[in-house]
Amino acid sequence: MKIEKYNEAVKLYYNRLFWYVAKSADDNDLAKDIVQDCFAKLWVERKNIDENKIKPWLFSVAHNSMVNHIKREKKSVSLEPSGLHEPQVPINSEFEIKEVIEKCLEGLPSIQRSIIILKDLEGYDYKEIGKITGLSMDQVKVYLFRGRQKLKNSIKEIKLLL
Amino acid sequence: MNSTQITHDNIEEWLFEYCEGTLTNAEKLKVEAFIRQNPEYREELSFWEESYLPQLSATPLPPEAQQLLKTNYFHLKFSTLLKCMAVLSALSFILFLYFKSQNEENQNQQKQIFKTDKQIRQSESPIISEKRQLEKPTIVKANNPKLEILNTKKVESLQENNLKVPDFAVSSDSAIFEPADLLPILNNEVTGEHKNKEPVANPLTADHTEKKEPGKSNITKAKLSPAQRRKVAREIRKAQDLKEQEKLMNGNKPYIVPSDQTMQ
Repeated sequence: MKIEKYNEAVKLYYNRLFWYVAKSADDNDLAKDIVQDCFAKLWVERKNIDENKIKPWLFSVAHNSMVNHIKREKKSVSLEPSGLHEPQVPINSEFEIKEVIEKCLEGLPSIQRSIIILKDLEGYDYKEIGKITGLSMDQVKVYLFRGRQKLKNSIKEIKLLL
Repeated sequence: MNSTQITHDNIEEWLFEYCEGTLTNAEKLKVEAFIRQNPEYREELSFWEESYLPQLSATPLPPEAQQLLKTNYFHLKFSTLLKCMAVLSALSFILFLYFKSQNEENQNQQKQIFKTDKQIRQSESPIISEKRQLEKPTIVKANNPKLEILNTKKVESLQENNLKVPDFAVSSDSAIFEPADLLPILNNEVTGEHKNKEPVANPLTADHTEKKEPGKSNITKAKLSPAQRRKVAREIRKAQDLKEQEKLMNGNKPYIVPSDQTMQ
């Protein structure tokens, strides 16, 4: 990989990777550290990485770093679905669906958030998400259904309240 | 999808698949027909559709991302470096040859100029002028019983070299004396050979002397001391050498205005 490709990857994927980690881990500082670490690894491993697979490589490294960090810190957030966390959505006149979704997303378990972000924002299919997260296609599909169902219920509740 | 039939229990799964776009056209039509029969699920479908995350808006890179960018730095490949080196060395060699040839040309020109200057200086030396005077015909008074040689620089030079004018005997009837004629005579005097014979012709003036009748030589030998003879011989040899040099000069001989005395 040439230096131009690396710089292009930084420009294209930095914000997406940061958003993915920040939303999945619910920690902006951790997201900054993980993203920096990802691009440092990318530069070191640039000769061994296929130029067409930079993006999945970055997301895979970021996901693994995030999971390892969560395990190390023994956070209360479990990777397994552990019931619905009711989102605290502020209800005001300037209500926007985007903010509602983001708030609802915060209430989801980390793995469901990760899969929804990878599916909706990065456009990966089940197989690619499985490679990044280390899950099977069926597992990805189940987690995605559960996460999206929770999001739908949250949106439904908020809209009904309004 | 476990069941092929849409029911109130599995409608959530069917709606999820419908929004994901994983259903076939027939399955899609089936879902749409079920929603038409049960309009309460129309709103449910809209909630499912709203559960998708909106696309991120393009935001500028934060400062920490700018620090990750690598600046281009100059790093040549070894082969490119070798090519550059080869081109540079070839250019330097060509320039070296060019300047060397220029220097040689300059040196040659300086040498030529120096040679010409030297030749001019030599031509202006007293020996050259003396030699020229020697080549000029010398007028001798025919009616002088003492055999004086008058108005000739040769005579003067001989006097300067401690050679006395009376040492040369000139016949009374001779009108023209050419100094080149002295050479063979003096040669004989120096070597001591063929004293009684006719003088050997000077190769430099052979043509000239052949035209003359040997019997009518106006010069008679005077008695010279051996030291004087050697001196005269040296002078003559010098004159010969100068003549040869002048021949080599080929046209570089400066023009010398003849003296008034010789014009007479």
